[in-house]
Amino acid sequence: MKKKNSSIKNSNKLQTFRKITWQLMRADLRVIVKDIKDKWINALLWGSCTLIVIAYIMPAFGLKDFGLFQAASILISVIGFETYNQMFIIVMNLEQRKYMFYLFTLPIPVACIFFQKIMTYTINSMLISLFMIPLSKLILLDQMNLATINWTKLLFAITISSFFFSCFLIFIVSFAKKTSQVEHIFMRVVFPLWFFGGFQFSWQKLFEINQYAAYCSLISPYTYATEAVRVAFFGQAEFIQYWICITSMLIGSAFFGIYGYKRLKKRLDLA
Amino acid sequence: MFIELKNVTKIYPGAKTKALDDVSLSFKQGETVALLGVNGSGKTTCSSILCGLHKMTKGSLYFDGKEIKNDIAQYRQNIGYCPQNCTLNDNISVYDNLLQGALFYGLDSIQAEKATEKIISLFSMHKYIDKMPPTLSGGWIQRVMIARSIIHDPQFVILDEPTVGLDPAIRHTIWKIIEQLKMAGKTLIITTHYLDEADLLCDRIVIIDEGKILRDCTKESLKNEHENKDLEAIFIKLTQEIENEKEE
Ligand SMILES: Nc1ncnc2c1ncn2[C@@H]1O[C@H](COP(=O)(O)OP(=O)(O)O)[C@@H](O)[C@H]1O
Ligand SMILES: [Mg+2]
Repeated sequence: MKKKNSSIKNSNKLQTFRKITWQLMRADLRVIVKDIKDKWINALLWGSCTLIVIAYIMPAFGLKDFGLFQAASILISVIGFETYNQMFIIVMNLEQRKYMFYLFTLPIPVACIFFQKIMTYTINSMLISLFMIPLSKLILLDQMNLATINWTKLLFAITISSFFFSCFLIFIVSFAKKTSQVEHIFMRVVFPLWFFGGFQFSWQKLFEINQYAAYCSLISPYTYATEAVRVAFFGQAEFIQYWICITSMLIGSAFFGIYGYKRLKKRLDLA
Repeated sequence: MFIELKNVTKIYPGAKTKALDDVSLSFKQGETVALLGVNGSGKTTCSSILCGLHKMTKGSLYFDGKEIKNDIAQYRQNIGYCPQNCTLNDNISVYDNLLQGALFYGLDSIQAEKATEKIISLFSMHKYIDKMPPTLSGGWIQRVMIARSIIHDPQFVILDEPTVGLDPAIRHTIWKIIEQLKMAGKTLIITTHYLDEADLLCDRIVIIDEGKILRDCTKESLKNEHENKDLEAIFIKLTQEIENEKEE
């Protein structure tokens, strides 16, 4: 009898947690919808500048057929940039003990709050990344053939990459105590990871040039995310195995998400 | 219903000194208690442990005689916590802040809307519900913060320095609101370093200094003991005694 009561109690408890998590999600989705237009405009400017230069100016310097190749890394780069934006917002919020600390007093475990936040960031990044697909087509025109793209692989890669970077975000935030440190972390850690994570080259080409550099670049999560998108664009032949990329990102998500959460919970001294 | 802290010690990560040092306190239903102390004495630490935000280093927390260990999340359902600084969501209106406050405590949408309307009337804030928090004055932010903290109708309400930095007229308005909560039968735990506030609003006074409880008694008995001097004189005397002891 007692056991049954406690299991009813437990299921009620879980239901309440689910209900509250869903309300938190709904609240965040509203903010995402409100802000997405501005984020799309930002992404549009940066993305189209880069693409126009690569697709229409660089060929005059001998760099041909590079547009779609570049578009693949742009889809991932915008996720990275959005992660950086969010990093600023969270660190500032925590530093000034603002809204986030209200969430930590709600009748729901802190782990649910972090999980829900990771979901929010994932959806947010995905929306920006997906927006870059039609934009790329609009700029690249004939250089991008929609029929040859493996759409399932593409959408899956974007989803997993967005999820990965959201977990990575929690991990990085657990190191940044002050807003001023965010800039240092970006310039010293994130930027090198991004630029040497295959922003403008494939891993195999790097391997042909220098093995050691290629092994080093496997540290960068950007390498896996970008290569996965390129597989969806061009097929498997010249890139890292698609499922290796996806698995690496999933393992990375689990590691950075859980470790980051634990670190942050400890640093913020949450019950 | 009652909440109890037993032998609670708090050392912040990386800190050398104890923010709370072996504090034992209990709060019974219907009481209005002032946690009185100078800046840095441990009031915020104490209230943030009571509301289930921060961990304690040592000691335990009881609710209704049951120790709260892993079910801290559920325990928070009974508490309304209004921290010292503004934790409103700056991106949404006052109304949405309140409504979400209700939804985030598990109320369904009809209940939540009702609770929000009720609170808006109680605090007469109809004119302000469409405003965004960053455009509000300090006094209104504080009112919205208090409103949000009690929207799920908790039994225990913890207000951390509710009138600090506000001008006298607004302090009086906040006091009126606190009186209303008292009348509604809430258990109030108010931290403050203003003696007039403690004197006016509270029945029981807990004086805290450097993380230790110096006195914990009713206002009357404190005054009787010290020949009916006002609270200010008593407070200064008590803290000076501590200083003198240290020097000796
Ligand atoms: N996050 C923190 N990390 C380290 N020390 C802290 C932190 N918060 C408070 N303290 C220290 O704990 C003591 C009590 O602080 P607090 O509870 O904020 O006092 P009060 O609210 O009475 O002004 C102070 O000495 C303060 O410096
Ligand atoms: Mg304080």
